[in-house]
Amino acid sequence: MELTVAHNICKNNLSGTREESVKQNLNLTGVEINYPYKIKEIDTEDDNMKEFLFALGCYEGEKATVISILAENYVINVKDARYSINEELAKAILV
Amino acid sequence: MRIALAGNPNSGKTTLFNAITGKIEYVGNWPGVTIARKEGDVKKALNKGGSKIRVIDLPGAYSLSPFTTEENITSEFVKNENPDVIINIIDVTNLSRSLFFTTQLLELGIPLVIALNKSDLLKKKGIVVNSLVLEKQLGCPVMETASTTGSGLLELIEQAKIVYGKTQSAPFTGYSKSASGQAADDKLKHERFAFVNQLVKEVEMRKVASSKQTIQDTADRIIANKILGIPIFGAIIYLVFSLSQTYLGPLFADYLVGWIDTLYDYTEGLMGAEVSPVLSSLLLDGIIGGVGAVMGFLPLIMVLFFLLALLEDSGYMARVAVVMDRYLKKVGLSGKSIIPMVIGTGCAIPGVMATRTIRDERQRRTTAMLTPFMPCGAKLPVIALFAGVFFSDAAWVGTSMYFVAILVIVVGALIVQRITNEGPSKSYFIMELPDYRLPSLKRALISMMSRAQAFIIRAATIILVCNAAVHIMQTFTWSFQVVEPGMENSSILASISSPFALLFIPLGFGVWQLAAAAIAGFIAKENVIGALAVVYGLTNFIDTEEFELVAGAGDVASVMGLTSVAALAYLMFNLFTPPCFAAIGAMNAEMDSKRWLWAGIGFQLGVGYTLAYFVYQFGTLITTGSLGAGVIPGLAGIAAFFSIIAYLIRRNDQKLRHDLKEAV
Amino acid sequence: MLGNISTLFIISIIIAGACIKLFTDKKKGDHCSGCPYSKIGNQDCSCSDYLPLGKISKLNK
Repeated sequence: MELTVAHNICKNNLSGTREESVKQNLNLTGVEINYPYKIKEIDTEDDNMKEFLFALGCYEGEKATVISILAENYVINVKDARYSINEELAKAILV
Repeated sequence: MRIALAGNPNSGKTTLFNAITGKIEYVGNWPGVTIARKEGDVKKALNKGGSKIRVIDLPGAYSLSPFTTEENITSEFVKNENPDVIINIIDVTNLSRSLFFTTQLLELGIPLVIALNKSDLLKKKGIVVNSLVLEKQLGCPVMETASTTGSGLLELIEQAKIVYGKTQSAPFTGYSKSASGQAADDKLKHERFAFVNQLVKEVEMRKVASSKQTIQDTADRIIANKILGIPIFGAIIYLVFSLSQTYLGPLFADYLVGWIDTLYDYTEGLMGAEVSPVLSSLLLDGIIGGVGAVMGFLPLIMVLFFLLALLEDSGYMARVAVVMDRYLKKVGLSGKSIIPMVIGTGCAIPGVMATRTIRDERQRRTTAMLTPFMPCGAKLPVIALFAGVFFSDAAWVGTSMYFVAILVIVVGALIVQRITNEGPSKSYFIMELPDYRLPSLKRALISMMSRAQAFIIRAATIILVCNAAVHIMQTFTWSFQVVEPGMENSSILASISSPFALLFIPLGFGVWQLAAAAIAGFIAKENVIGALAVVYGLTNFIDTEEFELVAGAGDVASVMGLTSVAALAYLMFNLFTPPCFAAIGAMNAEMDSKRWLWAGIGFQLGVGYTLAYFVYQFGTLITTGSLGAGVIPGLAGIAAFFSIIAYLIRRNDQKLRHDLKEAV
Repeated sequence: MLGNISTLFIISIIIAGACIKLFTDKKKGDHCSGCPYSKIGNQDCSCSDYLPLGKISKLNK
C-alpha cells in the first residue's frame, strides 16, 4: 500500500513539471469539440509513435478535430479518417 | 508473375485478395486483422488464358518505415523479395492519408497499379475523385474497384499484366540523395506530405468535410458510451445466444440429430448379432455416438457463427475495443490487447498470434496468457450442451460466460501487472475507427460455411480419434481384458482419471467419467462433449422431441448425476482452464519464454479451479443451505494458489521499492 | 467371424483416414486441423513468419 502511494507521488512529481510546460500550449484534451485545430507539436519521447502519427498525417501544421469524447477515449478526425485515441496520447498532441 | 497487395490497414486488401483468388481468408471490418502474409493464385475467371499469377496479401501499413511488426512484414517484403508488380490498394474515401504510402511505394521502381477501392462508397459520401488526373500525376495506372461487389477486378488484373516488366518512375522528386541525417529525413517527410496534399487538392472534390459530425458519430456516442457501452454489448451477445440456442438453432438441429440417430440404427442393424460386442460398441458408441454428439451441435454453432460474422462485418467490434480500453488500461494492458481477444472469440490460436502486434513485451505476454480465456468456437458447443441440458437453453448462460471471461481477463491482468510491474510507464493507444456498414449476408454466409466446414473436419479427425481412444480405454483393463459389467472402475480410463477425480471433489464433480472428459478437453474442447457421450453411453444431447417432454432433458442430467450448480461449476472449469494443446503451442511461440509459459498455464489452472470451487460451494450453500463436499481441502488448494500469487506480488513490490530507493 | 473382420476393417479405415488427414495437415503447417483461422501465415516456411518476432524480442533485451 505505502509503496503504491510512494509511486503515485513520484509519478505526480514527474508529471507535475510536465504539466507546467504544457499549460502554455493547449492539448487535445482541452479543446472545443468540432473545431479544427492546427497541431503545434507532438510532445512525446516515443519517436516511434511520433513517426507513426506522422504517417497518419498527424504532425505539426496539420489539422485535428475532436469529434467526441467517449469515456476516457477521444475520437479525433485527422486527414479524412476517424481515430480513437486514449487520454495520454491526446495530451501529447499540442495545438 | 508475383503481385503484392499493399495498402493502409482496413482498406480492403484481404477482401480484394479473396475476390481475386477465390480463397476464404479471415476478414474483419477493423484494422489489423491480417498479421502475416498470405498467398494465392488469381482465379481462372479473372485470368483468361494467362500464365499463373501469384498474389501475396500483405498486412496493412501506413508507411514503409515500420512502426508495428506487421508493418515490418510488409516493408521487408516489398523491399527485399522483389515482387513483379505491386497493387496499391487505396481506400478512395481517404486519399489524403493513403497517398503518403503510395509515393513511398512508387520509389521502389517496381511497377505499380493503384486500386481505388471502396469506390462504391464515393457517391454516398459526396466525394468525387478524378482518377485520370491522379493517373497522370503519379505516372501509374489507376483503377476504380469495389472488392465487396467485385467490380473492376478484371480490369485491375489486366493492368497488372500490362505494366509487368516495365520500370516505375517516381513522381515525387523531392528526394535528395546527397543529404542525410535526421534533419534531411524530416524535411523529406514534410515535403512528401506537401506533395500529397497538393495532389489531393487537384483530384478530389468533397461536398462535405470529413470533420463534420455524421450519424455515425452520434451512433458512436451511444454505442461506445461510458455507461451504456457495456449493457449494449451484453444485450447484443444475449440476442446472439438466444437466437442461436433457443430459437433458430434447435429448429435445424432436430433434423440433423434425427439423421444421426438413423445412421446409428442402420449401422446397428447392418452388423447384426454376430459381430463381437466390443467391436460393435466401438463403432456405434465410440465413433458414431461420440462424433454424432458433437456434430449435433453444428446447426446451433452455425447460427452463432453467422450472427458473429454479421457483427464483425458491421464495424461494431472496433467500438467494443474502445469500450473495453478504459478497463484494460487500468490493469496495465494496452488497447491493442483487445484485438487478440476479439479474434480469440473465434479461435484462441490466431488470437494469441495476433498479440505480436503489441510492441511492449510485458503487455504482449500478458495478453497471450489471457486471450485463451475468451470462449472460442470450440467452447461454444460445450456451453450449448450445458445450457441445454441443465438450464433449459437459457441464453444467459452463454452471455454470462463472455462476461465472466472479461472479468477474469481484467482481474488476471491486474494480478500479472502487480507481479511483473516495472514501475510507471506511459501507454499510448490509437486505433482507426472503421465506418459502420450494413453487414453483407453473403460474406457472413461464406464465413459461416468455412467455419462449419472446419467444425466438421475437426469432428471427423481429432474428435473421432480421441473418442475412439477414450472408448477403447474404457472397454479394457490394464491386462487387456474386457471390463466386466458392474466393474467399470477397473478400466484403463477409470484408473487414469480417478486421481484427478479426487481433486475435483471440492468442485462438485469428483467422478472419473467427468474427469476423463475434462482431460480429453485439453486436446480439443469439443472432446468434452464427445467423451461425455462415450463414457455415459449417450448419443445425443439435443433431445429432439423434448419440447413437450421436459423430463427428457432431465434424463441426461440424471445420467451424469450432477446438480445444476455442479454442472455450472464443471462448465466453468472446462472454459477457464488452460486451452487446448494447440493454443498452448501458440502461447509458447508468442511469449518466447518458458517461464512465462509455465506461469501462464499454472495461472489458468488456478483460475479454473478457483472459479469452479466458488461456483459450486456458494451455489450449493444457496440452493441447499449447506456447503458441498470437500470444502476444506479445496480451500487449502486455493489458499496455496493465492499465497503463491501474494508472494510474487510482494517480491515485485520489494524490487520496486529497492529500485525507488536507488533512484532517490 | 466375417462380420467381425469387416467391422474391424471399417473401424481401422475410419481411424486411419482421420489420422492421415491430421498428419498431412500438420505437415502443411496448420496448427489445428480444419480450423480456418489456423492458416494465418506459415504458407511456405513457418520460419519466415516468426522472424520479425525474434527481432522484436532481441530489441527489447
